Amino acid sequence: MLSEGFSLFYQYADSISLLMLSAVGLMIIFGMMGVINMAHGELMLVGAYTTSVVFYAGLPLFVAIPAGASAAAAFGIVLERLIIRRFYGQLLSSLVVTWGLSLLLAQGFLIIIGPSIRSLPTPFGSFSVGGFSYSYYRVFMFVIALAVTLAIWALLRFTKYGVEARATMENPAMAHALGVNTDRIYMVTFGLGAALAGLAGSLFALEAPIEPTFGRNYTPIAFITVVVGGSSDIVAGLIASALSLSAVRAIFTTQFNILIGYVAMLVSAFVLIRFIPNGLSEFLETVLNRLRRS
Amino acid sequence: MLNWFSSVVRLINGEQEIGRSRGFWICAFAVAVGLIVLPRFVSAYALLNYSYIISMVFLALGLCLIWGFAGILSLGQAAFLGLAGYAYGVVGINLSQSGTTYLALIAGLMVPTLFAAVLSYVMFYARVKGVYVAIMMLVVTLLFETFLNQTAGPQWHIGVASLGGNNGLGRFSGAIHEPPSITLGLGSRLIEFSGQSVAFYYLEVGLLIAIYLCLRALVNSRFGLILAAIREDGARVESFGYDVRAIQLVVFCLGAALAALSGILYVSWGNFITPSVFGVTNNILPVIWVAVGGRKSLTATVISTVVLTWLSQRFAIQGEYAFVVMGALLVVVMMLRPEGLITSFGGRKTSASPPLSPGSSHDGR
Amino acid sequence: MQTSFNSRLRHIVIAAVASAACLVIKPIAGISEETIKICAIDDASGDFALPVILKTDGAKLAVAEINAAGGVLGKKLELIHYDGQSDVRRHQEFAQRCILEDRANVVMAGYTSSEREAARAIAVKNKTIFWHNNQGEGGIADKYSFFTGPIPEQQILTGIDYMIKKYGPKMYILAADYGFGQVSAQWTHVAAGLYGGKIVGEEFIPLGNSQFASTIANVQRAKPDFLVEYLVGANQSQFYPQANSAGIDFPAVSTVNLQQGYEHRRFPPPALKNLYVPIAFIEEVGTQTPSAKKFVDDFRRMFPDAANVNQPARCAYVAVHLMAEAWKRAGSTNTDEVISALESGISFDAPEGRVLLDPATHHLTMSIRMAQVQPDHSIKFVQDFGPIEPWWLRSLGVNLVRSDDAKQYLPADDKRFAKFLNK
Repeated sequence: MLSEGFSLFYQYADSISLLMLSAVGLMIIFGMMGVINMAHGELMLVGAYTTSVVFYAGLPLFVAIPAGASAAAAFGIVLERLIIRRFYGQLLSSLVVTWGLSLLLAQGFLIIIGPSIRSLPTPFGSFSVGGFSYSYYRVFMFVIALAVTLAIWALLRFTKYGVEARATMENPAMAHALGVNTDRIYMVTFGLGAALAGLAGSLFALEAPIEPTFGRNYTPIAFITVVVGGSSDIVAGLIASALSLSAVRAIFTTQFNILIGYVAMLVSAFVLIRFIPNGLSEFLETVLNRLRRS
Repeated sequence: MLNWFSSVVRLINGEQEIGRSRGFWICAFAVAVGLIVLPRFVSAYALLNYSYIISMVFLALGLCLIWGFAGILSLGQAAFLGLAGYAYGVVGINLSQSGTTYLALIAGLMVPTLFAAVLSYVMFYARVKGVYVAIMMLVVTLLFETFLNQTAGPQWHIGVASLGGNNGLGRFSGAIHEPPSITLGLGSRLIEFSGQSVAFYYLEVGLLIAIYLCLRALVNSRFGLILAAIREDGARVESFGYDVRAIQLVVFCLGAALAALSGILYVSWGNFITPSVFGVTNNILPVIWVAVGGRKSLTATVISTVVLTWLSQRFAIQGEYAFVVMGALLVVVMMLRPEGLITSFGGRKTSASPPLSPGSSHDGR
Repeated sequence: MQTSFNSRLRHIVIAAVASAACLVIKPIAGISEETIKICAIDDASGDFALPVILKTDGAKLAVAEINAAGGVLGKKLELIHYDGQSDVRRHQEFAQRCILEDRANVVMAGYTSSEREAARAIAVKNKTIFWHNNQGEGGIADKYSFFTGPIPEQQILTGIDYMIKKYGPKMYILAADYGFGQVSAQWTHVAAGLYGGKIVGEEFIPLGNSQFASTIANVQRAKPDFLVEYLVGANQSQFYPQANSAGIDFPAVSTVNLQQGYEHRRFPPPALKNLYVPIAFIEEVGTQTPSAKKFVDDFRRMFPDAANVNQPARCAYVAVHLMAEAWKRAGSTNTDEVISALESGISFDAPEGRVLLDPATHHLTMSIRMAQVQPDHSIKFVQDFGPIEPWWLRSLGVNLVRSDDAKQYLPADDKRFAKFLNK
């Protein structure tokens, strides 16, 4: 009984960490800059590929993974300066242009790098709870997901950058008038979002074969997670969205099968958007405000 | 009578669409004549390809209508195309005895349109807007693809038509029943519009000309002007007393019906359809065609769809660069000429490079 | 403003018409010398590029060998290759191009079943010989269609029988949730029934799925003696590293892996340890027979950058050679005469051993070996099953020499299997 409970909890946590890691980079960019970055998967690919190259050059994983994140950040900043900068606040335009970018980059990487890159070995080994065996690495990813979310929250709450970034997000014109270098804030923020995408890519690459379409598997789900979460409060939205979508998926998968779990998750995303059109974070804010007032 | 005719002409030649001068219409007439005599000058294979290209124009026109004119971006138009193809195919296979495909055509048009009505009721009456509509349509198309992929197996059939999963409608279990080509006629006088036939090509050309003119009239009619107003500022239109949600529903269904037409023509052309029609790539292609041409113009959409589809086929023959070029083209156009390559030549709209979503930041919610 | 726009629009229209004219003129002007044309639609881009690029190379090798030996009927073989872009619609378009424009004598196309059927439908409609050069779910009985890849009765029955004898009767099936996976699962049920196996669990995985935490838990709960894996595509192959890092240690049998995507070369060890695959051909067969060694050496000499020499390469290679032999026997390229030649009992020294094209079923009798993946991902051949015939369709009464079924048979069509298949 207990071991079944742990198994379900493990699957739930696993699904949460997957959604959060794939979506956090996208959420920052969406929430802060009103840009939907459909080339998110390709940023993940840059992270994964860099990590692979660095690792096979002989460096340890704890160097290779940050290297992947940094490479993705650099690549993202280049994209931002060249292209994305013109599309702030334009959700639909940015969606379309970054989708074009995604097509171009994925096929471009295929041509340059080839159809496959050496995969990375999964570290850490396994442990047992009540007759079931689990992977430490998955637990590690869950811990990283929590740590990253906490770090983002702290960054936005307690640092100068965070204050400026939040101001820019609320009212860019006013922030600019008050002396905030909004241009630099955007650039740094996009770099941060790209770095997180690269981090996610590097982490996933330790358990998946790396191909140019690697990131594309995660982009639609990340996109859905972000949109369900809504952008009025990035961290709350991300957590709420990941928790609810993963719950649906985990429950339906264990009750029925993977197909039904996946379908149920998509349907619940559809339902959530229908009834909470501006995202869960705004819904939560409204509820909290009403509770505070009453 | 003459009054009616002249008012129709005025509608077709209204301000909402580019190309209104005598020069344009002379060119358009020349193009139409060219299309009509084309079969005499090209090989059977080339004609087959042109038929395919034209069949995709209706999908693009549907997206142009709902996106360029009504401001609704849908990332799931291929869902209606696919649904139409399957509905038409299923009914056509089951009624293949009768020889004609009238009921299949009705099914192919009605099923996606009704589905669109339900979907748009769910979305628009909940005030879902902008990027959320886009993502809901994406979810819908993913659901179709996932579901249909696993319908291989003898238990997955509607009548005689096995859904066939990945192998294609009508295949995989038992005798192979191909979805039929459109067959019209009475009694023993039947015409089959198969993909390779000249009849099919002329059917498409006829539909293209008729629908193009009708859509031109529509966007210049009162309905069309209201659509444009909704695109610019929906709240204000609402304050004038129009039911914006109902209008959005109607235009969304119209877009779905046009996508459905493409679906039916595609199946009639190739007698083959698989769940891959619902895939993500098939949904981004019409967005590329419409965005690159100029989403606010029907004419630009037609031209860009034809040119881009033809180009990507050419590139596919050359090698692996097709997607690179298409992606790059989309990026470049969005950066330099977001109005679209063809419409930006017109300079019709006075505002310079407006964003794709009306209004300022965070509006897509 | 208005007039300058209209003149520009005119220019656009003229340019469009002019380019259309170019399209028209080019095909008329193109004249080809006398060659025998083989048209291959293989994915050089998209999801399936990795295994399929090598398939084209296999065909190229065969064409080069035959042309060096003088060609066929005094003419050279010409390989026309189109990039299917891992896209079904491209396969339709190019199949039509092959037949109507290039007037190819034979079409070889398709990696996944949807690609195959898209091209095959057009080939059959136009009465052109079609080859599918990959493993498949089997069961297709059609006058114009020929197959070089191994099929379920050769791989699944053999493999399951072996695993039951070696590890015990309890098995857990993981299958991709589409036609091929579902049919493979059905054949596994048949094998379990025939050889005394017991299916303790069965899961169908949707094609895009790459997360297996729930599956791993289910497998552990069921405690099978071995796993049966029909996982297709890069997403689903993530099961291996995930299962490995979760400490799963069951032996497994698969008919899908190693042969196309050479996973043992790409995944870091020991993710695939103790995976058994009943294969017709993988590159390591080059250590088992002289003809395989020669094939691998020649392949690598012609394509020094090739990542692997995989089964699709061997299938395409065999197909081209069989066609050459058929053209020679028929003395012409007339389709019906060539089909009769193909059905006259042609054999060929394929890399893994001699193969015979079965006249009644259009499939190959081929040698099957059991490959076991070692902890360091090297391959050990633990059993040689010898040549296995494609007997199943014949046992259903299929004889394509006499009549064209134009149909795909499934295990459910076989009355003898009814008791093994769940209702």
